[in-house]
Amino acid sequence: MKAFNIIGKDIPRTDGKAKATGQAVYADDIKLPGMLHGKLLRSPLAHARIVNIDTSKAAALPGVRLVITGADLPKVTTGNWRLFPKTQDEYALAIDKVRYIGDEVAAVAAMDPDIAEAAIELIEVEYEELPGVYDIESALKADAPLLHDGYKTNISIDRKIEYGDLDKAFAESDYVREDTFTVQAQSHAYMEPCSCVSQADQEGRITIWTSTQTPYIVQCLLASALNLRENDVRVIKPTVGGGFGGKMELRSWEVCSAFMAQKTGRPVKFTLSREEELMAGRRRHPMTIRSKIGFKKDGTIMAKDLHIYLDGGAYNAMGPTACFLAGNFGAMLYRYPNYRYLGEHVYTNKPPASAMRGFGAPQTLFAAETQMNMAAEDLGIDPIDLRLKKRPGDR
Amino acid sequence: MPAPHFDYIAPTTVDEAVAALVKGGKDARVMAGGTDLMVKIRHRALFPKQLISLKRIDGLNAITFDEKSGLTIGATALLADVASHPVIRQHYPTVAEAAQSTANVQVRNMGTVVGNLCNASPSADNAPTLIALNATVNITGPNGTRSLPLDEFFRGPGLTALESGEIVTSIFVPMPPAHTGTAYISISQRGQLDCSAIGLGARVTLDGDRCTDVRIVVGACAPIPLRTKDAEKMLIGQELTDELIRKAAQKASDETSPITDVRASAAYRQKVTTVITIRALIDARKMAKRKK
Amino acid sequence: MKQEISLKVNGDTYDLYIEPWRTLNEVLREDLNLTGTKLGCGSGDCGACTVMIDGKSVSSCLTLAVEANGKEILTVEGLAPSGEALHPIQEAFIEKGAIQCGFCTPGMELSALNLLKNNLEPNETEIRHAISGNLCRCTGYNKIVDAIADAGQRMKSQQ
Repeated sequence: MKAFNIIGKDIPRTDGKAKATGQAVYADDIKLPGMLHGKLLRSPLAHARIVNIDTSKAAALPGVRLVITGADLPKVTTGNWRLFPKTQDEYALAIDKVRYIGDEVAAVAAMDPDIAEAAIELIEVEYEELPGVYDIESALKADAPLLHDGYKTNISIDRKIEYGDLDKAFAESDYVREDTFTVQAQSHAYMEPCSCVSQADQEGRITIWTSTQTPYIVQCLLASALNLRENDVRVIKPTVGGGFGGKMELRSWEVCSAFMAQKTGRPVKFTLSREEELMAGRRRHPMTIRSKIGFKKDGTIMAKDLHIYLDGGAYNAMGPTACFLAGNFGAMLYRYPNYRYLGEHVYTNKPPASAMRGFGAPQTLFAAETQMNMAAEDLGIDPIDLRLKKRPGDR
Repeated sequence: MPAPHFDYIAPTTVDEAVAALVKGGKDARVMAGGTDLMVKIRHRALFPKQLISLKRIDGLNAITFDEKSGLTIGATALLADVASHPVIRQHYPTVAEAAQSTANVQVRNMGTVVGNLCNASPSADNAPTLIALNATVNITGPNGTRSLPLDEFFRGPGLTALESGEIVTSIFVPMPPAHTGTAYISISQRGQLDCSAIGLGARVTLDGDRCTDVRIVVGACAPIPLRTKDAEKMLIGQELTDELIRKAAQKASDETSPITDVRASAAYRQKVTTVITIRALIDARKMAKRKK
Repeated sequence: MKQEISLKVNGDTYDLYIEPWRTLNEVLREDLNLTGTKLGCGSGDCGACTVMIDGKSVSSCLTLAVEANGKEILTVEGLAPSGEALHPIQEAFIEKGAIQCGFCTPGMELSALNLLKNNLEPNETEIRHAISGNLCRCTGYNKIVDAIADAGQRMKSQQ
């Protein structure tokens, strides 16, 4: 046999030595001359109108170089689905309203992290608290408080997939069952808390080192958030300490650090604490999954009707993609000759859910596989045999 | 909120430490390993103005043993050292096991047994066994020294019998009588890493098959590590049959007043207390029969 | 009030003048630029900040720098004896595929050293206990366990 120089061989990772020796540079390892330290003020309330923000005391604290609120930034919303601007629903810093505990309200850049934290305490925010919704059921009630203006319900987006004739297929089924499954949120808990450093040149062009999985998304969205041309934003992705889908968007601190670097003329670093990550970080979507499935007596799958509510939290983040993918994954593994999916992404006053390993699959397939076992028991077929059964169209 | 700013004092004698603590009053905190204190400070739950470290006091980390009287563990003796100490493993195996089941390697390399007790968490891993073994705490304060049974040391979550200016310098564990067995069983979600949802320390002393002395101490199921005295009474003077152990375990569970928190529900704690009390008493009985 | 301290880190002595509330982790990373030591949680749970003080593995995020005054500190940067060569633990981590995102790696390696310094042939249970204070979220534990066993063999053969 021909000897290959790659195939069949263990190839050490190219960055193995740098990581094994501690030389690999992560965002928080970067220190630039004159660098300022940023800190975010987060909302203590789940749902409130911002009546007034007074930053004067914070700005007057010695060592503080800049304090900003949503009013200082260009009024641009961000979100990964640029082609569907309506889904872009999040400001880097809150404008008018906060929608979850931890929602970013203001930012400080100071000489050291301690001063930045002290300054955050001095920002006075007057809130008018609003009733909130904390789960799918209460968010969907007819009289539920609405999170976002311009919506008639708390459903932010829906996705539909349908093929075949479900009514006919269910009518022809010998066995039909319908179950509802619920799954909870989960934190990515990547080992490296999010961190970024931005530097601006004399023309306001930005170089940002940020712990991201998606430098090009950061580049294009940061450019639009600060009204820059894309080629005036340079994104450097240093070594990243895990992401698992949780570092795939432009985030508040990236916008703040770039903007504050422009305004102060000095590099600005933000590094989140583990507390911030767990309190306000992105997460896996909790879902309520209603699944109806029909079989012939011999185990032939006739049809599946899937209706999923995704608990999206306060903003869309990458929820629309999860909403779409959950439907794709719902039709996976077995051939469903007739299939219908309705996914509805629901706003609640909680941290936004987003992409996470599997991106809709673990929840949907947990429901599907559990339901397969329950069906197998009722049909008197071994659960493995039921899964391995040849279906029309299988090769 | 920025991290609290404090002065750091590292006295070299117990008397200096007491003087510093008296001077500092409520704003001063004593630190041994610091693994509980530093977490509280970093989480902005505690704002001391002075930290008084005991680490530079010579001899305070000593572990001494005398067959006639017993074992003394100094205030700065590390959990790791207690867990691996050959004499402790031989004569007080459960004391070593409880130290070993506290937190993780790094914390055991920093934290101390006495610190674990003084932190006075109801779930402190080292408390149930030491109470079961009739340990006493040695205390030095502005008015001299005193000793207190560990059983009377805990007053509530985070609260101890220490008066202002007092420092625990060591814990003393008497040599257990002949035919004594002990056991410590803890339950937590992530093995031994996280705080115990329930901890159970038991000691049994036998005369033949008859139980002459017994202690059952439940951790994390009451505001303090709790001695279940009614359950103990059921066993003293009796033959320790499986049947009687089961009844006493049920009684022990009834004496607890657990809460529901992130680690376990009250109902789970109550149910599992019965189960691990049975296991611990059976283990302790087995060891007592083996021990001369 | 600032205090003068002297730290011996990876064989080099540093005389510092620092505030007593600063942690060893901050001082290593910010003052000494030894950023191989990571900060993952700040509460002694994740192990990313593990360093050795006087031969024992500790969480640098819970250690005050003043407490380390006069002590010998080993960080991941000091593991290999010289610039080019790697420590057997580092070699094993690379070759056994025990490194993914790398954020837990420095702490894992020092926990491995804490185990192997007394026991070059640990069994799997001993290895898992030894790294029970170090989280890996890329879920690469199996390969890390393999690497530590392999590192023990490498160190033994070097003796």
